[in-house]
Amino acid sequence: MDTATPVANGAAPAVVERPLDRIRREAEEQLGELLAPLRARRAQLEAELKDLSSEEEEILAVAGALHVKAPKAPAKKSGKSQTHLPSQKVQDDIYAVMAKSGMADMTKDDVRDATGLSESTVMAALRELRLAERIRLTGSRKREGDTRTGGRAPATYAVMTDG
Amino acid sequence: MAEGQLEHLTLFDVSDREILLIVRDHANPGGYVFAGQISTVLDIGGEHPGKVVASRFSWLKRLGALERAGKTDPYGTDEETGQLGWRLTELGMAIATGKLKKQQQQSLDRMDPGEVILLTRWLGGRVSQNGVGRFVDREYRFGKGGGRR
Repeated sequence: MDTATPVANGAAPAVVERPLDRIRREAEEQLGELLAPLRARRAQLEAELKDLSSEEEEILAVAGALHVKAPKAPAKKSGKSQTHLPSQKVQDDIYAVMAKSGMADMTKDDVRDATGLSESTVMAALRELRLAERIRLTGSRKREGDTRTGGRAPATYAVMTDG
Repeated sequence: MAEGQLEHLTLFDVSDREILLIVRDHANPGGYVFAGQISTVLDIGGEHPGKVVASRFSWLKRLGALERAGKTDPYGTDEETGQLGWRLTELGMAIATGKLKKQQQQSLDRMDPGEVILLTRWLGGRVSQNGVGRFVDREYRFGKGGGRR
């Protein structure tokens, strides 16, 4: 099938997209949709790494100027962690709460209410537990009339019983 | 789209294993789920949430973890939308529910860094020729990047 049909009055010929071209174009669009967030995430991580490297260099430069050793990182505290990465104990405690809850799955608010931990700590711990495949994302829970979430259905998590 | 909703379904959002277990959890008697159905389960936002799920399912089909329903397969068609369903293959079920034996886990835990590198080299040679290798790569990348939801 011709992709261009000549027109008698001299106007530009109409271009008809071939099925294969259409499939190729749609596939490229879908691939682009998959690539975009990955590239954005990489750019974000590279920027954060650059900032961290700069801070480290500044600290070492000051320490060198004072002719003292570079300060050591503070020892990790047990229990509630003030750092972004929750301690293994916190992760284990959250896992235990989820395993014993009797609920099919829990939102981060359920976990926060059950543990008394801060939302940021719960979120960080849930992320680590997912990476370790001790828990998994199971879906979301519709919450009618809940103005706190503004209509967004919170994600639900459950302990991994498979594998 | 509400704040915090998933707009994409990348590996950083949901792992292959999580997606496959969600398929298993929500399958109909024929083992099938539908893209629109799963987009509701995961509360995907944007204008075409079903398309977001279908894109991820398409990747998993190419990697051999999911298969598409035929038009005459029982339970394979959504009665309301006419969508064709997706279901786990044998590989997909193995990825979703597989588990190392305790002895295997202990052997791997005892490996020193040099042995880990040798294992990785062997693994690369073993799986490079089939879809399993793609899943190995994806598992490694998801583990590095972490889920963000």
